[in-house]
Amino acid sequence: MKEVRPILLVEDSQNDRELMLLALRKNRILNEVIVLRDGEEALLYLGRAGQWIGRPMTKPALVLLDLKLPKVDGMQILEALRSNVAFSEIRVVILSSSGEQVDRDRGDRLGASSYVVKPSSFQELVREISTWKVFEELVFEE
Amino acid sequence: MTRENRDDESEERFERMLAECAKEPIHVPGTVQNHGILFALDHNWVVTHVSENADLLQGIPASDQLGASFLHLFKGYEQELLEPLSHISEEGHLISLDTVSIAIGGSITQYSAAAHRYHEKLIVEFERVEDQVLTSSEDVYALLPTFVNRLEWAATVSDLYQMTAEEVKRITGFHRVLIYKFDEKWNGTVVGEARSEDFPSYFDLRFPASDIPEQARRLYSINRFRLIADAGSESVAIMGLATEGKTLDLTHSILRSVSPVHIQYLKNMGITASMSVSIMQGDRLWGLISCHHKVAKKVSVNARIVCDLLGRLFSQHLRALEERSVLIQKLTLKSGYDAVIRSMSEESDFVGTLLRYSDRMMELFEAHGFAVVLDGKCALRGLTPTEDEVRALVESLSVTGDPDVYTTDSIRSSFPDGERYSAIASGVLAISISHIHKSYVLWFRPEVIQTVKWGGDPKKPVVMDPPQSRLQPRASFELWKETVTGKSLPWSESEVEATRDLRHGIVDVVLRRAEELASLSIELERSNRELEAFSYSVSHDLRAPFRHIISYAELLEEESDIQSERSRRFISTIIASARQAGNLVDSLLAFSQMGRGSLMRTSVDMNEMVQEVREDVMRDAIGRTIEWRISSLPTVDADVMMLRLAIRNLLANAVKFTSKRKDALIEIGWEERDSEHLFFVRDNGVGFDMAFEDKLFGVFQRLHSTEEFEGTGIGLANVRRIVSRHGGRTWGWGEVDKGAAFFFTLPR
Repeated sequence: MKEVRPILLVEDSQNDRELMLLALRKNRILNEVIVLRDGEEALLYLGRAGQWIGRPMTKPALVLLDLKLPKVDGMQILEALRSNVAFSEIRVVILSSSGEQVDRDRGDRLGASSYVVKPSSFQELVREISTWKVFEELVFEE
Repeated sequence: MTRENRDDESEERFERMLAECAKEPIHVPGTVQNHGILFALDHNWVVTHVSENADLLQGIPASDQLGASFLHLFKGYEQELLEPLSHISEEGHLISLDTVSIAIGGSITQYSAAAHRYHEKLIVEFERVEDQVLTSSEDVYALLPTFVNRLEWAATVSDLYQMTAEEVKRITGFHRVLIYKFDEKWNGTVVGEARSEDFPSYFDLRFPASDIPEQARRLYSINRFRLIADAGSESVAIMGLATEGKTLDLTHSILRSVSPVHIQYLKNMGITASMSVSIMQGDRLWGLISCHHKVAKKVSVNARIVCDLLGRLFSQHLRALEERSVLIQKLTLKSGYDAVIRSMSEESDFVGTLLRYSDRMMELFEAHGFAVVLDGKCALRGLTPTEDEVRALVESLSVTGDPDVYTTDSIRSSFPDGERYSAIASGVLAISISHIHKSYVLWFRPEVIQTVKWGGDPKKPVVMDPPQSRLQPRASFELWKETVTGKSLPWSESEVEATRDLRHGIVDVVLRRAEELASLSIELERSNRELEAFSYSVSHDLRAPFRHIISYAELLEEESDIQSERSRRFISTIIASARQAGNLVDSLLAFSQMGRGSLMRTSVDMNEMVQEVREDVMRDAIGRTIEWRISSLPTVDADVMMLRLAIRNLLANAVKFTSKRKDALIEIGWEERDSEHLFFVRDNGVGFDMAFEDKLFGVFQRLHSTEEFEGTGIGLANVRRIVSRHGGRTWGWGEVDKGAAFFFTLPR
C-alpha cells in the first residue's frame, strides 16, 4: 500500500475551512488534512519551525492555498514553496474568491498547478473536488 | 540723322546724366542762383571768389573785385556789414545780418545779407530785399503764435503733418506745401499736404530713395534751408583767384545753384520756385517740408528764420507725438492681447477664441489677414494665402531663425513659394505656440503697393519726351513701386514686442492647461487605482459571505431534522437570494472592469460573433421558438471580449423580453454611414415607455420587476459603456407591448 501523505489546507476563513473539510470528506478522501490558518503559520510549517519543530519530513500530497491571507498572502507562500527544492514538485491548487485575471496570471507565473475559483455553493464545491480523482497523490475511499 | 536716332542719342546722354547725378558733387557746383551775389574772403578780407553778377551791387565789374580787399570794396558799410562780419567765427553757422542799403547811380537798393565761415573762408551772400515775401520781422512774428497754438492741438502725427503743411502755406504763400517723410531705406512718402486748388495732389505719393541721393540728403542735414527761387533762370558762375581754383565749397550757402537734373524735375512738375526745410530727428534727416510755387519766388531772410523755427517746432512736437503714439500703440496692443489671453484662459476652445478676436487681431497689428494653425487645424481670416500655402509656410517656419517670433516684410525673398501670394501677404508675422506640434498664429500684410492710394495726377498726360520721362512724379512713383515690389510695410518694434508678449500669454495658458490636464490625469490614475483596489477587495470579501450562506443553507437542507416543506422552502429562498446577491456583485465588478481595462482592438466579424452569441443565449431559452432575422453584417475593429459582452446583453434582453410572445421575432441589422457603422437589435417583446429611455442605460435601472423578468439591471449600462469606450453612441426605441429596438454605432 502506498504512503498516504497529508493535504495542506492554507485558509484563514473558518467557514471555508469547514466547508472544504466537509467537501473533502464527502468525496471520501482519506488523506490527512493539516490545517494552517494563515500565511505565517504556513511558512512555519514549511520551515519546520514554531509549533512544527521536529515534524516528520513527509512531503504533503497536495497544497490547497487560499490567495487572500492576512500577513503573508498566498502568492508569497507559493513563491516560498517553489523556491524550496523539497516542495517544488508538489501540486498546489490555488483557491480564490474571484477569477481576477491578474491573479490567474500571477499564479501561473509562480507555478501553481491549478487555479480554482471557490464555487459559490457547497454542492458545486463537492463536484469540483470530485474532479480531483485524477490526482494520484490523493486516496479516495472505495 | 533721323529723329529716332537723335532721340536715342539724347536718351543715352540723359541716362549718363542720371547716373552721374548720384555722384555729382553738388556742394561745389561752381555757380550760384542768379537772384543773389556771393563773395568768398580769406582771413585777410581778400576776395578769393566772387559771382560774376557782383557788378550789380556797386557797378564794379566782378573781375575787378576779385583779389580786392572786401574792406575796401565796402568802405562806408562798417556798421551794418563789416563790423558784424568781423565777429563771425563759428564754422558752418549761417548768420543773417541787418538789411544793407547800397547806393548805386543815385538810387538805393536794399539787400539782405547772410554770412558764414567754412573751410578757411568767410562767405558773404547778398539778396535783394525787393520782391521778397515776408520782408519785415513784424509780419513773421505775428504769424507765429497761431502756428504754435495749432501745434498744441495736434493730437496725432497725421494731424501734425496736415496742420504744419497748412500753416507753412499760409505763412509763406507757396502754392503747394508737402510734408515729405523718409522711411528707413530713404524712400519718401508725402504724408501731409496743403495746396492751391489748381495744383495736383501729391498726397501719399511715393518716391524712390534715388530721387534724393545720399549727398543731397547730407546737404539737407547740414544746411536746413534750401531755396530755389527761379528754376527757369540761368545760374551765375563763380570766379576765383587763379591760386584758388573754382572749387569753392557751397555746402552752407543759401545761393548754391541747383543740379540740372533737379531743375528738369521741377520743370516737369510745372514748378518754378521751391523751398525746403529739413526736419531732423536727432542727427537723422526725418524728412522735409517741401514747398512748390508756380512762378519765381524769393523768400526773405526773416521768413527763412521763421520756417527754420517751424521746422524745429514741428520736429519737437513730432518726437513727442511719435513717442506718444508708440506708447498708445503699445497700450492698445497690450489691452488688445490681454483681452484675448484673458478669454483664452477662461475658455477651452483655443482656436475658437483666437478666431473670435481675429478682426481685433488684424486691426491691432494693422494686418489684412490672420491665421491660426493649432492642433492640426488651420483657420484663416481676412486676406491670406490658401490653407495649403499657410500649412507649407508653417512647415518652413519651423526650421528657420528665431524659434518664437518670425517676421518678414518680403516673404518671397525668404521663401521661394512666397512669390505666389506675395501680393496679399508680403508681410508675415508669426508666433510659434508649440514647436513640437507646429502650432502658429500668423498675421499677413499685403504688398505695400496694394495699399497705396496715390493715383498720380489724372489731368496731366503721362507721356512726355522720352529723355525727361523719368524726371516726374509719376516716374518716381513707378520707380518706387519697383523698389518695393514684394514688400509690405515693415512690422514695428512695438508690434513685434507685443506678439512676443502675446505668445508668452498664449504659451502660459497652454502650459497651464497642460498642467491641469496632467494633474487631472494623475488624479484620475489615482482614483482608478483606488477603484481597482476596491473592486479587487470587494470581489474577494463580498463574495465570501454569499458563498457561505449558500453553502451552509445547502448543508442545512441535508440535515435530517429539517424535513418540513416550509423549512425547505425557506432554505431554498435563502439560497436563491444569496445567489442573486452574488450575481449582482459579479456583474457590478464586470461593469467596473469594463471601464478600466484597455481596449484590445482586433478585426471582428460581426456575423460570426452574432451567431455564436445567439447560440449561447438560446441555451437558456430551450423550448422557445424565436424567429431570427439577421442581416449580413460587416467586420468591425473592436475589443472582441467587450463587444461580445455587449452583443450578449442585447440579444439576451431581446430573448428575455419576448418570452411572453408565441411569435417572438428578433431582428439584427446594420447600416453604413459616413464615419460609422450603425447596428440595431429589434424585438417584438414587451417594449418600454420612451419616457424612460434615459433610465434604461443607467446602472441598476430596471423597468420591470425581477419577478417579471430576471436580471441585474446592469446589462444596458454595460452596453453603453462598451460602445462609448469604442467611440460609439447608444440609444433605444420602445413602445409598450409592441417591442423595443436598441441602436449602437461603432466608428469605421
